Amino acid sequence: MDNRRYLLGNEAIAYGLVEGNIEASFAYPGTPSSEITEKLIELSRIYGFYVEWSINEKVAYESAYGVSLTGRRAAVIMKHVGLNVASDAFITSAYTGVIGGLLILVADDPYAHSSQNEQDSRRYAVMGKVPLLEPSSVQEAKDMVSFAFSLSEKSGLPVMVRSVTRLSHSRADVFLKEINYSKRETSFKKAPEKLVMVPANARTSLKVLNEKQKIIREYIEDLPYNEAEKTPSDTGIITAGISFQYVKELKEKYNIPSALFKVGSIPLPYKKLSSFIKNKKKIFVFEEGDPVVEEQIYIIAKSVNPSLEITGKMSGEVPAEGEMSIEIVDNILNKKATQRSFHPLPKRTPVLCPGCPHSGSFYILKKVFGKDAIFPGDIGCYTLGIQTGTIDTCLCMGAGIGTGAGIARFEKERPVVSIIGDSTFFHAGIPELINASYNRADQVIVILDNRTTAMTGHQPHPGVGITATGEKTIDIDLEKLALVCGADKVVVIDPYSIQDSIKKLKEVKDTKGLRVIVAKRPCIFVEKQTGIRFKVDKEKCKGCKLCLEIMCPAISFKEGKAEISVYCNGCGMCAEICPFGAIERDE
Amino acid sequence: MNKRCDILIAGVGGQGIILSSIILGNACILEGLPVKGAEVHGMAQRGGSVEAHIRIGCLYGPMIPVNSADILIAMEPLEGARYSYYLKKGGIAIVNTFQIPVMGETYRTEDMITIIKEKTENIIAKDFTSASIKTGSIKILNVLMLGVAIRYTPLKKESIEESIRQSIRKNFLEINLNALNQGYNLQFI
Repeated sequence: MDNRRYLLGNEAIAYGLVEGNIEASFAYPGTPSSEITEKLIELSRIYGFYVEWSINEKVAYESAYGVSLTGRRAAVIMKHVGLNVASDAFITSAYTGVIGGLLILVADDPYAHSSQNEQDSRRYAVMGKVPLLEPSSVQEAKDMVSFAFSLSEKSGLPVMVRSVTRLSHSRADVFLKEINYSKRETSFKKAPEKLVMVPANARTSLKVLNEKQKIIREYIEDLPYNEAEKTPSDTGIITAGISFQYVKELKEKYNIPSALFKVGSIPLPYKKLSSFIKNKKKIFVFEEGDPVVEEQIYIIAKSVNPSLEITGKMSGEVPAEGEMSIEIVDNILNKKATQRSFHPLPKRTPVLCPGCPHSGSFYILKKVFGKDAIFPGDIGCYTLGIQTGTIDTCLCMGAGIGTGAGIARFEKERPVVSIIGDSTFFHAGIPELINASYNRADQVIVILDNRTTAMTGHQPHPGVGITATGEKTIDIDLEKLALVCGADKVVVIDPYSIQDSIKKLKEVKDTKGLRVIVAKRPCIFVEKQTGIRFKVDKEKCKGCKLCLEIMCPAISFKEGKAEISVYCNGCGMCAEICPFGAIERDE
Repeated sequence: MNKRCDILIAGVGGQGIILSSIILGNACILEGLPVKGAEVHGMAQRGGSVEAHIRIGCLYGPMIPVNSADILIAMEPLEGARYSYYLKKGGIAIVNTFQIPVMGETYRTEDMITIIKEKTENIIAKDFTSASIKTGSIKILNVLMLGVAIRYTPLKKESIEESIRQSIRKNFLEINLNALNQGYNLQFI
């Protein structure tokens, strides 16, 4: 049977995990990593391993670590900023070491396509002193992940595998191996001197961790993913990750004679690289993110070839921000700028969908709390509230509540209204809410409860009553939770009922203390569409443009009158706010 | 035999661009051709400008180099103009003239076509949205435009039909296969 499949990078990684006999996987959704778990959910139905959406990356990490301590193979999957959340557990887990293979799959997002920053996860591998593998293609990603389990067990350390957006979200024809899936019969063994990180044990564990570094370095020298081309040339090109593909394509196109070295790991293969750069005059380094490999090349060159000319991000030729591309590599290797035509065109930035309940919430909040209110925000689709002036800050998961508490301490005259999504609230908002109530913050917290983790592809969370694999589970009531966490007042509104919500929230505005508003209405992708559409009665429309305040992308203006496009999802919010009754159901 | 063909699909999030790229990719698998692709997920996808790259016969990276796409499938005229820098000189541009408005901005479809004309005269411009609504649903726009593109790719129509059978749910299969044929039978250039 032909086992060649057209797979998304993330899907290929999921297959690699199964080829490597994964027994449990833990993750919080985050672009560009989410589809690894989505695929694992599908594959778990065939092979019977455990998959969960955890409430955050720290819990996910600790759970995967726990599975490893029972001797089984586990993975924790996240986007780059998720590792910040998990970092506390991550750093010390290298001290204790692991038993069953433990993989940390981290998807970085150079150019911040869907993120708040462009941090480079490889820095964490260096800080945590654990090996990291970085694939250069979708096929290699699958093979590497399966191999990484054995590297983890051989070194007794968690192993990181770094992906980037252009790998996770690229597709390729991939050869799959036949899967001979098996489970282990192992159990947790007590070893407090190794596993309980009290100071005395931590001190000895650090020594063990440092000694493991020598073993890792030797192991890495023979890794098939660190490869040098045997081309005789005094110019060399070193790539890490997907940049390898850009260089290969250009080498073929222009017959570039330079020797090519593909780096697939951190730490680097020092011996192999020393002999590669020893007799070179010039080296180019191409990698995504920070100049992590490039810095090491400077260190290696110092002893074997001090006069080596190194071109990369540190020398300034390669852009230090954004992602690599074939054009960037082409311009540097061939010293010519690619001609790219440019026309000033209207920008089409992401917008909330037609019928998005967040649009209603933002409209209501603006009407009630006014332009002077401060809206500390958070991470999710609703960050797009930046366009309506109802998101004033965005830092990281959960930050809106803490930031709001700080602002509210000193902005006594202005309403401070923190905005957070339901999934984000479970992820990082609960301690923030408890802190706000414990320290008596005079603040409003709005939980936009659209019954899903919308931005990352509609994954369930503890508020919706189903697990990753579709089983029924506890359904945590946000209203009750907020009261238990110490909110003075909790009000539930339906963002589709604009006038009714405005009335309810005016009362909230006029009181003091910690007030929680739950704006409850499912995302348009969660609830089945009714097929209802709205239309504008051109006779009645006075062209006042008030309907535009809902910021619905299905409404536009043509010849001074509102028009509703075929993309209308039938929420009816515009009809409710039109003062002339000009918007009606399209029967 | 040259079986390489770089196709860029441009449009607005929600138009079914990713599904088009999966259909093309799986058709390559059926024909035994190497294939690579790249796409956009997450925040960028929410009604924003979206591009998908499909590289038939490609052994390397997923991104089409600038000035080298053989075919541009533009599901919206502004997005067609925006991504036309990928198109090679004299490539094929299949452009849906039906606009998805950008809030607070206006543009003329003719101006967008003029921009694409800087790269090629081989433009098939038509209101494919209205055509797809007539064929049964706005949701089949992606497959209808794919149908128009087939004859300019190295892929057989039968492979794409088989690929559609593999990736689309039974209830929507007939309407999609119908849309593909509608697109395929339009003769323009």
